[in-house]
Amino acid sequence: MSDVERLLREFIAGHSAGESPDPRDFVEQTQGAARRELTALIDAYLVRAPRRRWDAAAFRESGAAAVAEGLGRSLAGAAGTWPALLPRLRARARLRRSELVERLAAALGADDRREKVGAYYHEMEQGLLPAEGVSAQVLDALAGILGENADSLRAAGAALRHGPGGAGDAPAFARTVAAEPLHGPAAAEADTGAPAEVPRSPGRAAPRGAEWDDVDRLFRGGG
Amino acid sequence: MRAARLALARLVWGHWATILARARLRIPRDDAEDVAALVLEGAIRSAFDGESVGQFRSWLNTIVDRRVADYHRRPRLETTHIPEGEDEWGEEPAIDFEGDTIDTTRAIDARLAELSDDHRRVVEAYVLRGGPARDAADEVGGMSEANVHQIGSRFRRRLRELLEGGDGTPGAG
Repeated sequence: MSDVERLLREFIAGHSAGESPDPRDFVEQTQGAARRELTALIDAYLVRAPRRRWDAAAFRESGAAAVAEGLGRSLAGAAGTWPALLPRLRARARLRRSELVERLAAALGADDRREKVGAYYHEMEQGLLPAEGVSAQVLDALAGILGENADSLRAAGAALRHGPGGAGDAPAFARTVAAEPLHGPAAAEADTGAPAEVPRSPGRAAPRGAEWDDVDRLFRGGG
Repeated sequence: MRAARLALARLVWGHWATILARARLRIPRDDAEDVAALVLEGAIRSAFDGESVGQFRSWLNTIVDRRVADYHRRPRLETTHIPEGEDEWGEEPAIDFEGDTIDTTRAIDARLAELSDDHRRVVEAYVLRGGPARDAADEVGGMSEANVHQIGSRFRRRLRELLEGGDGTPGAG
C-alpha cells in the first residue's frame, strides 16, 4: 500500500469514526505529486462523506455550537445574519468590542457619543437593530474596520424571509422554523447544547423620530 | 421553539466536521473555522431566502469552493496591535493556495463519469470512501478483490497523470 493510500485510509477511518482529524496533518506527511494526489483524494472523500450523527456533548465542545448560536440569533432577529457574521468578523480582525466601538465612533465623528455608538453596535451584533435603518456611512466605516466589503455587510443584514427552498435538510429546517418561530422565552436547551436565547439590549430604549440626534439617524435613519 | 433550535443545532453539527476539514485542506488552520462558519451561514441563508439550492449537500460543497476562492482573493487585514500588554498578532503564515483543487474535483467527477457503472461504484466504495476491497467487490457482485485493487490503482494512476500535468481530459490515460 502506498503512503498516499495509507494516509487516505487513516484519515477516512478517523473522520468516519466521529473524530475531527485535521487533513493537513496527513497531507503534510507527503510532498510534491503525492501531496497533490492526497489532497485531491481527501477532498473527494469529504465531498461524499455522510452527514455526522448527532452528539450533543461533542457539539457543545465544537466550533459548531457558536455557529448555531449565531444563526439562532439571526433567525430570531431583525438583521439577517449579522448576529452570526459580525462577532466573527470582529474576532478575525482581533478586535475587542470596545476597540471596534472606539474606532467606529471616531470614523463617524462621534467620539463624544461612544457609549451610544456602542449600544447601537451591540444591537447590530444581537440582531435587534433592523438593518435597513443602518446608513451606508456606518456600513462603510464598519467594513473598513473589519476588512470586509460594505455591500457584503448590507446583504448579510437583509432580513431572512423564512421561505422554503429546494430539496434537502436545510430547507426542511427552514420550513420548521417558519411554522415554529424562534422568538419567545428560553427553553431548557442545556441538555441539547442548542443555542441560548437572545439577550435584550439596553440600546433599544433609544429615542424616536424628532428626538433623534446624528448617531440615531446614522443607525436608524437608513440612507 | 425548542424543536427548531435543536433542528438548527443538528443541521449545523451534521455538516460541520466535513466543511471544516474541506476548508482546512486549502486555507490556514486559524482561518478555517471562520470560512466554515461563513459556508454554513450562507447555505442556510439561501435555504431561508427560498433560493433553489437543489440538494443541500451539493450546495454546501459549492459554497465551500466559493468561500475558499473568496478567502484567497480577499486582501489581508493589516496586523493589529492589541494594547494593554496583550499579544501582538503577527501576519498570517504563508500557505500555498490549492487553487487547482476545484478543477481537480471536477476532473475526478469526469473520470468517474467515463467509467462503467460497476467500476464507478468500485472506485467510490474502495478509493473514495476507503472501504475494504471485499465490500467493494460484493457491492457489484462477480468481481474479485484483485480486480478491485486493479481498478482502484488504475483510477489513481489516471489522477496522478492529471495532477502531474499529463492529459487530464476524460477518456485519456
